[in-house]
Amino acid sequence: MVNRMVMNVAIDMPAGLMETENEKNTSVYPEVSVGVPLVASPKMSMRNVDVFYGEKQAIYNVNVDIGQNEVIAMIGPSGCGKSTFLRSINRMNDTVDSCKVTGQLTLDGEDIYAAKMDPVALRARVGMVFQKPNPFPKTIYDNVAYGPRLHGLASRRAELDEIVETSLTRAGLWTEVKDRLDQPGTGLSGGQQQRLCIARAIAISPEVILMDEPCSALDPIATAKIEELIAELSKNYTIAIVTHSMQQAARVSHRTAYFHLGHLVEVNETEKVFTAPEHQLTEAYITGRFG
Amino acid sequence: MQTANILIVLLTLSAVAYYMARGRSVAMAQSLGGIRHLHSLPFFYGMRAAIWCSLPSIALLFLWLMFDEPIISALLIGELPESLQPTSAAEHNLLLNSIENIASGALSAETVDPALVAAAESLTGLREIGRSLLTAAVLSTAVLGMGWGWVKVSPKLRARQQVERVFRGILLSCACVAIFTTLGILLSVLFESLRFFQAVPLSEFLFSTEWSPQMAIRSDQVGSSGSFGAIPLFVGTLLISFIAMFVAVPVGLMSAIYLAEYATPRVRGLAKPALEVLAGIPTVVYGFFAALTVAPFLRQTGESIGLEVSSESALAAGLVMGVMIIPFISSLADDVINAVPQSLRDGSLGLGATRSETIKQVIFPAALPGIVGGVLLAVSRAIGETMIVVMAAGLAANLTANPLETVTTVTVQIVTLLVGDQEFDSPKTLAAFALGLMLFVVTLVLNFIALNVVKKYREQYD
Repeated sequence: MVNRMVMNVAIDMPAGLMETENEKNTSVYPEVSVGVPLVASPKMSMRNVDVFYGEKQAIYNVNVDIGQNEVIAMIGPSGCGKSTFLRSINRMNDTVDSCKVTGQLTLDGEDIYAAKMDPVALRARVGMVFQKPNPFPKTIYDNVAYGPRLHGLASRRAELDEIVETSLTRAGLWTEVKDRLDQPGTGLSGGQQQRLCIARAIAISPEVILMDEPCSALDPIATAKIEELIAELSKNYTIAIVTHSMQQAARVSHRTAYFHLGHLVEVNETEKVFTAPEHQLTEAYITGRFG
Repeated sequence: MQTANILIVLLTLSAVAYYMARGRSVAMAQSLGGIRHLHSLPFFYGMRAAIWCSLPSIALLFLWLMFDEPIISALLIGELPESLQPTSAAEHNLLLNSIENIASGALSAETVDPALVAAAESLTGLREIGRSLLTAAVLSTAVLGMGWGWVKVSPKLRARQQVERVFRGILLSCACVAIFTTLGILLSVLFESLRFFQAVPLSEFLFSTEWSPQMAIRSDQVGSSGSFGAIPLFVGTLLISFIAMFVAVPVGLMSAIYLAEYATPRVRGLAKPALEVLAGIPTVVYGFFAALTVAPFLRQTGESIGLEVSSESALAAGLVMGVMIIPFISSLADDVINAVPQSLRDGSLGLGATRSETIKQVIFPAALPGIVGGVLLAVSRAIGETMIVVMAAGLAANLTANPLETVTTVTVQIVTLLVGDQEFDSPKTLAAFALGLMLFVVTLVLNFIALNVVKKYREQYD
């Protein structure tokens, strides 16, 4: 948050849009998202992003930045494209044959869809935690050591041990599992499994962590632990989290983006989104009129 | 009436019973104000009547057919004069046979004892009476059952439970057919094997390395006394199976991995059925392909590089058998790999693993139990395969590990032991049962291991 200077006058934001603030937008999607989609010196920036599944367009002209060490929450009704958008950021959508992404997406100014960008290397920098905990059917140790081994991050066993311990500690799981590192990760409880997946993701020291509804399969206590963890992780990482829970978005994020049927309607400081939404659709969603 | 005709009439009666009882229940329901006032749907009342009409009468029919011949023959023999009474079981059968032949006109009545002619006449008479009695009994049972089914229809009758109980019984008896058949085969093989082991000691069968089953049939015949060491056969079987698996496992697995992980839907749609066509080729076609194409090719190639290759070699049979098993392994492995949850792939790719790393480190280990199970099933299949080895591997029971030589397998020997004229109390013939038993035990153990491996690791991911 420290180095996040909000640019209120974005480069290519049409002037007309700024004036509509007071009279509340109609339910028509804004041509450019209202609020503060762009920030100065972003970690990642997305411009004019369209995503198609075959003939069907899933994301329409999204422009948004993710700031350094920021937690940005993406909310919106089911099927609004927030997960699709998230999966475009680290090119997970490459694995879906019919999926096509256009527009410019950059990480530290590098185009992530450029021909010379290796999606494998990209995914090592932009890690991902999924909706359902998906530990590998291996031991807890091997789950965490999986990424470091792939990328050759440790040359000796001791180094690997250290990475595993640090990652598990950061994920708040070390004390619970340190005596059973050789047992299968699938034997942990749901919340522990999800923290194991987070540990697995941070073991390769990514710069950005994408979380796709990380708590939707967990009970409230496990959810609270993960939320604490997100706050802790944001000191070191940039985090984008998709969530269905508006309370969660309000609790963990600095900025919140509201998606509606493939359109990015509004992006703003989380507090503003939930107390004074600028767009009618956002207001309708957060007051529970649909979603 | 002929049995077939009786069955047709029974079927018709059951249909009539169904419609009558169903109609009666619907009529009853109407006076009560709708079908929902009945305990069961009209279908169940109808089925209940049809079951009452058919099951008891069919049971009676079968019981009758089982017992009428013995009763008739007992009556016939009883009528014969003292001088003709049979003294042994063989004589008893012979006597019945000639009476039968006289009755059917195959044996001229003038040349035999008049008592037998009389017996033949009474046989024809008894049979006719039996037929009429049977028809009457079965049909009246059916009609009674039908009436019972009709009379008992009432809104309170728990017809659904009764019908479903009968259906459950029918399903159970179908399941039992398979089990009892297996048991029957096993027992018959077991008892014949025991007879074999009375002639040939078990230790010779299991540990001797010489197999030459030719026995002198007559005492004055010049021939070997036979020796029954099964080791060369099992070594041959294992050698050929090993060659087959050596071909089938890598090719099958890799094609499965390609199909499941790399192929586009279009390629997959074309390649998978094409691969499965291999499974549809009859083994006899594989057999002559092995014997007429592959074996000569191997022989020529071997000669050109200075190797001596027998014209019927384990290698030819094993290679072709391997090709035959490829679709078996690839389709099983493909299913198993597809069953690995997408979330595991995503998890691995999301950590910056490449596709091949993901396959090696995550998908393959997760799918391994299923793959091992599939491979073991394929091994059982290779061990039991007959046609290819009969045609391509040869008959000589060599104890060798050289794939270029002729070997023979257990299945081939079973075939050769039982083809042609046989004496069923000679160890030569009985050896087939002992070999069959061994083969059965081996494949059973393999299947058992395969099922347990699959079961043990099945829920590893979830």
